[in-house]
Amino acid sequence: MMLSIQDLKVYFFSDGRVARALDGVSYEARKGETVCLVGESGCGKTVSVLTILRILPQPPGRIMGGKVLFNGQNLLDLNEEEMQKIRGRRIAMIFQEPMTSLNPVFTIEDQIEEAILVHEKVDIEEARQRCIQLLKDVGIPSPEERLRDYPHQLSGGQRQRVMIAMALACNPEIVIADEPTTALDVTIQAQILNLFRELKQKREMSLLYITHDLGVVANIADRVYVMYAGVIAEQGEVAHIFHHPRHPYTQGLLASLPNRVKRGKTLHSIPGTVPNPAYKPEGCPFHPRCPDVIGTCRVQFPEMCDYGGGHLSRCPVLYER
Amino acid sequence: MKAYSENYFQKTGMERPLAPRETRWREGWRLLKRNRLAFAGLVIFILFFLIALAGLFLTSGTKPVFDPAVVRLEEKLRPPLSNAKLEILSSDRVPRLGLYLFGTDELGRDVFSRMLQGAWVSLTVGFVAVGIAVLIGILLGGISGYYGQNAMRADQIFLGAVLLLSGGLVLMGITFFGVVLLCVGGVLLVFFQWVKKRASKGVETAWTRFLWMRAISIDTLIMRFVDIMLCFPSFFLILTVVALLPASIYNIMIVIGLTSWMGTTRFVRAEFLSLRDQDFVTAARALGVSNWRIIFRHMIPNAIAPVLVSATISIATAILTEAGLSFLGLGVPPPHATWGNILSDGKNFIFDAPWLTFIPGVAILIVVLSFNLFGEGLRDILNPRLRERS
Amino acid sequence: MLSFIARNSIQKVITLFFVSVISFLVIYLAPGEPSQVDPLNPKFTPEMVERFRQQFHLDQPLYVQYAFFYGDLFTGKTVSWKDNQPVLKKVWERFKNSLWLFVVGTLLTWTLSFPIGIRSAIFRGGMYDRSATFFSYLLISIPGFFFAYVLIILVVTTLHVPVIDMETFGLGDPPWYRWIMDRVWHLLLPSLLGATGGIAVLSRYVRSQMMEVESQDYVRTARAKGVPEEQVHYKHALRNALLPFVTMFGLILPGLIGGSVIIESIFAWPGMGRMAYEAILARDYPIVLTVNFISAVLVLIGTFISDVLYMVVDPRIRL
Repeated sequence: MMLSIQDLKVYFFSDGRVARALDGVSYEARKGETVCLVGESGCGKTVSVLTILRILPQPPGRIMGGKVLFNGQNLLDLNEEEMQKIRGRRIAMIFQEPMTSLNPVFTIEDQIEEAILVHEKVDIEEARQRCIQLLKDVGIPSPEERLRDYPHQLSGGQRQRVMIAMALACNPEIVIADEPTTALDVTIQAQILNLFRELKQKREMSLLYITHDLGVVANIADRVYVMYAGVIAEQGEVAHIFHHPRHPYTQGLLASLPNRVKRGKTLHSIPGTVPNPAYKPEGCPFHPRCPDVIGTCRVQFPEMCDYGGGHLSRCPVLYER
Repeated sequence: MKAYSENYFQKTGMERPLAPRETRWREGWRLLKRNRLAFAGLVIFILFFLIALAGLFLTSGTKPVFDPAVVRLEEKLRPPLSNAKLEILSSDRVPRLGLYLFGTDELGRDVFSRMLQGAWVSLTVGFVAVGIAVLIGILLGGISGYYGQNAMRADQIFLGAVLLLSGGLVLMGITFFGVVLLCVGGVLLVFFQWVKKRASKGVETAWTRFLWMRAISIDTLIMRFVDIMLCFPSFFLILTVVALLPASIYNIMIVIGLTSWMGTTRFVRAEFLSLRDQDFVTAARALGVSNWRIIFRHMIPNAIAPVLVSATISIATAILTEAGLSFLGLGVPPPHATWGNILSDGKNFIFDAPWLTFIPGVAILIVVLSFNLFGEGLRDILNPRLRERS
Repeated sequence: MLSFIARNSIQKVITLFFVSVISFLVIYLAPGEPSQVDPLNPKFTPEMVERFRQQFHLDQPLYVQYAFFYGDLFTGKTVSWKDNQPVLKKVWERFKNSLWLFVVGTLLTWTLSFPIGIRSAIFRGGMYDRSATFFSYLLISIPGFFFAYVLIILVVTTLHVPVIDMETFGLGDPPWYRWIMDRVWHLLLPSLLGATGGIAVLSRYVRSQMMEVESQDYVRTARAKGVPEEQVHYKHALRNALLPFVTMFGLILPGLIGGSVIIESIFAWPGMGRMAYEAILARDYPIVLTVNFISAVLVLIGTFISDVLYMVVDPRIRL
């Protein structure tokens, strides 16, 4: 098991209120596997991965419990110095906004080389060669000339490629990509997705991919975790999730996807919005929006129900039917 | 997939747990109470306001409750909380309660009464001066931000310059030239109207083209003016003007106001420029809402909060400026007491009567501090990005 | 770049012209007359007043006076009305004295506010941050003249060193080290007072800039790369936070004249501010106008420097 998050609880304390952003989340990524974390914005996807790298702003966030096991080692037990050796070198991260995620006052070269130099003792010339090779790998044309550019001189897609190059700089064992294509144009999105697939084939690495786009999930994932309001609602292999969703939320999400069969009909939408993490409903967090709601949903937090083959869903109501 | 019945929506509508709804004011109030420094600032500010108001009533009139002007040379430089020597004072010169709460100064005047009187001066100078500055700032900044792109025509600029100059001359007392110029301005106005009328019939010459040349945009004009005003070292400019004008509290307010509007102008302009491009303004315009309505209903309410914050802090600065002027002997003319001139008089007795320096000094410090703390607190509350992280 | 500089300079010259006109008008159109030409002044006979008016072109129309005044200023011929000394020489003398205060004060301001502000931002919400915040508000709010007296009392009663004026009166000809110590003591208090407001304001500004930058995505990126915390703060964040201060660097020039009036008066420091103040009281217009003009020039040079510097440091702005 490469990376395994177990029963992670992260709360936010601000203005005298408690927002339970993560309420006991568990997921895992195996070696060489692509795992997708799906959910609406505000459901805790980003918080969970920031917690893995321990770069969650604290305060206001606070880790209330759980484990982050990386090759059997609990990252939450490490001190800051040991953690630094893992960040970027063994677990790398790519962020959502390529526009603001690169430091505007340093050149591309500076920023990629820094990722190498903080972890490895190599001389500057070698670092530069690796930098050029990385830029080539991520498909930036004429990398030698791009080295001296500042981020603002590149397009959004190119910046995201630079971010990816930076993440790959030390050959990490796992790359976490937090909605890397959300801020990009659709055509660029497709290119970046292809790049990810290509890189995965070439390198022995796991990918933890966060998105709210089910189309992307179908495209890239081996396994899927569906998150809702700080808990995992359903998990399983991509085929299971797409063909036999066992949770009303997943069903709702899939029903709202446009496809050929539904042409000409009104698209489905899930009523209501994601609850404010500071005012989560009692019982199942999804019950106010759920079409299958019954009395116990309002009082009792649902257990995971096993459908076999790694397919689990947090809805006893559908399980018993 | 199940269909959601109409009934379902109603049911969920009632069940959906929502964050308790708060109005902006109520939320602000809650946050203010959590920010202890800012809340203390507000409390002191309200106290100061009440004291200043009370001071106005208690120290003015022919027979005030606390008379700041009674001179008792036999009781000079008495320390705070000392009792008046009733046996040597005639009955109409005995201080209220027979006690010098804050002591007396070198002329035996009751410092407490003088402080009361001075509080009102500080308050009004602060508020009126900043009021003037904010009004000018909103007006110029608003015009610059909203109508800025419109260009001024050469004839408009010329006419404006002539009228401004003539008005200025009349005000300065050079009446003859002023009136002559004013007449010239009037003639020009008629002349330009006539040219325009003629041109509308299709007669266009090089002359009219020159007159209607789009010379400079309003925005540039106003912003260059701001640049010019910013070139004057402000305290020095205020000092100069106050020294040249006859000493009076109104002159001081006006001069401080007229020399401190530039910040607000830039601020309002920037705010208006960004609001202009916001979708709700575009939407309002698309609905055919008039310019004035857009400005007053949509833009000013959105721009006003940060302006008020900076105004609160400007009041603190204005109070300090007035105190500084009084200290240099250029402030409100004696015998009227202000905190600055109490301190200024007291500094000569700093070793014999330190309270004459410390009481007004600390009073100014507390009031200015309260304004600053309250203003900064407000800024944090109004800026949600900062709030989350504090 | 060159065209930017050229355009900018032309704009500045135009601004300067208007500044000179406005300051001239403000002074000459204000009610009252300088005592030398005041018919009510018993020290001067009507003939003397008349001669004076002619000598200084006061009998001419305003625009002629304007031309005469600035013509004289640029050729260095302007003289003070009070003692007939050349104004530029007087200003230069005083300027040298003010420069000391200015340099020490500026050094204090810039060397103290950055460490204070950065530390506050990194440990925000902590004890250090909160006390630094409160103290800076205290220093912003305290009236300079009051603070000056408090400090004078403290220093004089506890350390028994004289602090008024530039050097101790009647010191005679002491050994050089005594002389230097004496100068330092006299210099320290007024320059510290001149710097307090600046330290308070600047450290607050550094703090807010730093906090703004620390919340940016690229700082998170740097952390995610495994960059050590120190390097995150002092390389990634600080480099960005410093950008706006480069512009402020140009804006400290006008401080040479600006806020020193009160402090120079209290400490009897023979500097520009005090000279200007005395000139205002004596209605010695040439000095007032000259000081005003010089300070306007300083402001314009300052903004010009900051514009150019900003282009140099920020890679996003290139013309």
